[in-house]
Amino acid sequence: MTRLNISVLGAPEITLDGHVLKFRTRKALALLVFLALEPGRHSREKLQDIFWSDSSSGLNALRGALMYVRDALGDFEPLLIERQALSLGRSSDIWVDVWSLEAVNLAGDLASLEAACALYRGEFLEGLTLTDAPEFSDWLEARRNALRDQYLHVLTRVILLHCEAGSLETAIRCARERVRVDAFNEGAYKILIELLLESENRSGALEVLQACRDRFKRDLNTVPSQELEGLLELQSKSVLSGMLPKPQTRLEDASRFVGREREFQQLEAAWEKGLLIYIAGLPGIGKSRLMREFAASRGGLFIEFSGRPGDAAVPYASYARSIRRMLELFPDVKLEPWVIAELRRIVPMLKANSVVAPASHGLGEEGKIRLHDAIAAFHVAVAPNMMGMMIDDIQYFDAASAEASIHLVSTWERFDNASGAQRFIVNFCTNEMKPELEHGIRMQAKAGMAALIELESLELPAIQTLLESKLDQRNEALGRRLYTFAGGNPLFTLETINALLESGNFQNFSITSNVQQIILDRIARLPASASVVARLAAVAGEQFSTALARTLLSENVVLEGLESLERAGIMDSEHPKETILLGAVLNSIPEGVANVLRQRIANALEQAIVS
Amino acid sequence: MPKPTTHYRQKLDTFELLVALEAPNASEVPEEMLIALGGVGAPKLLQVSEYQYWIRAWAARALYYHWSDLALEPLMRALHDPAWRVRMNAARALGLHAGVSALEALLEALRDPYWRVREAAATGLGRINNLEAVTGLQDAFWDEHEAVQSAIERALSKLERASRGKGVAHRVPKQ
Repeated sequence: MTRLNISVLGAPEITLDGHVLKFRTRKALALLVFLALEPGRHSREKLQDIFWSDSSSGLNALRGALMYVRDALGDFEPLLIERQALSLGRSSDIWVDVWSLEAVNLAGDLASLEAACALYRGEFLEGLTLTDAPEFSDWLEARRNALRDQYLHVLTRVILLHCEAGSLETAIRCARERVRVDAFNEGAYKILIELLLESENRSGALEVLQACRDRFKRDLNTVPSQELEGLLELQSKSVLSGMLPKPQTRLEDASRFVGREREFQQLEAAWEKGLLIYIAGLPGIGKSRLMREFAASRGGLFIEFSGRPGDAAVPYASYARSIRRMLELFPDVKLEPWVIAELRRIVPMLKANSVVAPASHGLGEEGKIRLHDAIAAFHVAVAPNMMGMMIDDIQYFDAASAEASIHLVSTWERFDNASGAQRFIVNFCTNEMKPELEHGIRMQAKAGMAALIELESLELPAIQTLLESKLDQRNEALGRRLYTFAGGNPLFTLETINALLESGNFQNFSITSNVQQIILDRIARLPASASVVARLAAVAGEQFSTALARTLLSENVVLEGLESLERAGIMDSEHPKETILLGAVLNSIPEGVANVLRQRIANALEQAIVS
Repeated sequence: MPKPTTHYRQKLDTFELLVALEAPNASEVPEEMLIALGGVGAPKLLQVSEYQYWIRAWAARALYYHWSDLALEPLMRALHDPAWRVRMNAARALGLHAGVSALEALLEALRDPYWRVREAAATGLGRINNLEAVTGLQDAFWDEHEAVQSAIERALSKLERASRGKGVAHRVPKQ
């Protein structure tokens, strides 16, 4: 039987019965791969938009590419070619490495996970670029990221299983691979360093740390976090100093609590009742600041840790980090042997004073509950050492840690105001939280079992007060312009005011690099269609409309993109919520791309007038 | 399995909480109420047969926040629940709200086999400004568990502060 193998995890290699196929153009190859990975029928118009958006003879070009694909495949005809549409169905005589990697069961055995890892020879369609097909490039980028994430998930699971089996050397080899593929993720370096320390290879761990420093310096112009730097010093140095909350500084900066007095009172009331406290709002709205200031006002030790966008790739990354942090602070915490055995699954460095039996279950449902029980027991054990915990950006918790948090909330048992109670203040971004989790939190809050404090944008009077506190004088007109520009977001507003003060130019508002990054990160976490629509809206400005977007983009992209942007609070129907948001997008678009977009927008508007 | 509901009562109902407090399992409790009591993970947790006691533990926890005098008797019965978490949460709710009405029950809980319950009972007794509470705490002073000892010490200190001038003194008893 004829068999078509499509290997695209790495440089593309397509074989028919073992013979490598040659394609006359890169687009022909890309077209075949696209059809293999995107199931269903694709209209010729849509394919034209994706591959030949800048060409007036796209349909002919598509016909040509299709001919090249059929030439390469010879007598084997897997494509279903219709007058209006094309498709490639899954069948037993076609094998695609991506299908296998995507289908792998993370709870499967080690052999199947290692086999899936072996498929990943490099990034998806390595070396392939189609500079004249921006939509395809966006798709390629999104697929590359998703497949790399999937590979990293599987690889991390392989590392954990090797750790559990005591194969430290193999775990280290896999952890090195993880660092190679995910070189800007501190979590990857941390795992490798911990494993090297576990195998008593301190010099190796130092080398990895140095490599991380060099890489971050060279490519990101930044340095690793103190947490990573501190990994090698844990045993010899207490990190408790400096962890105590800063003295109360509420009056230091008059701008700090403008417009947030009511929320501070809500926090105080919830604290007195001993409730779980959640603070919710959009990025930059002031959640973290409010949480820290409130904690500082309590005058006891609070431990803070955060979810990070990179956590998603590593199961239990968020909790592993939190537990390591608390073990640094409270190395003498007494844990029962079963708790240690379970926690070592995610914190291999956890040392036992006595021999500890390995965890009794795999990570099936039962094993997960046992591990989550251990995480809860760990929190109970450390609770007497602190006044409370602050958890920042819980929406970035990896899925496994999120599940453990849910369990922790369910089994929360040190809730009263006695000494040794577990007190949590948790904040999350409303637009990025999983809806079912947010729903659960809202229900608990409605039932009076938790307090949910929602931060809204500041109103104009608060912005005026904020501006006055910075300028030492009232300037109503500037305040109004500022309010339109930054939309009541305290962080964006403060950054803009600081930029105004630095430049001395009060006529033009500029978007600082910090704000720009926050906004772009926010959009980057949405589906790729959101970024496409945001770019179009940013370039089109006031001429942007859903109708215009539909002319230039596919219906699905417009619908999904606009919906995502609305949900994320970036667009309001067809209009940007605040000038600053799409301003940041516009700043990020390369001039060449912006010019192409302008041209296409102009053509579309012209056509609309003619018709 | 819990009963599904299509609506959610915003306010927790005392009667429903009391039913939940004595429920052998979660089958009679609407799923939305389970989530309100135990978080979004509650229904999943209750699929495990040995975790059925959580529904009673959550009901006791909810009564800590939403007290009703109607809960006094059921919570005192809950101090004899087979699950220590239920007994612990019942002791906490009684200790915070019931005052001298729960004195005897809490003194008894001070001799519970599990230390977390004794710790909760000690904390609760620390809120009852009464000579019997002081005597009971002093009798239990040399508890085998360090955390219970600390809770008793805190409770006695608190009572001493509260009753200064009323003749109730905090004395460390001889071992």
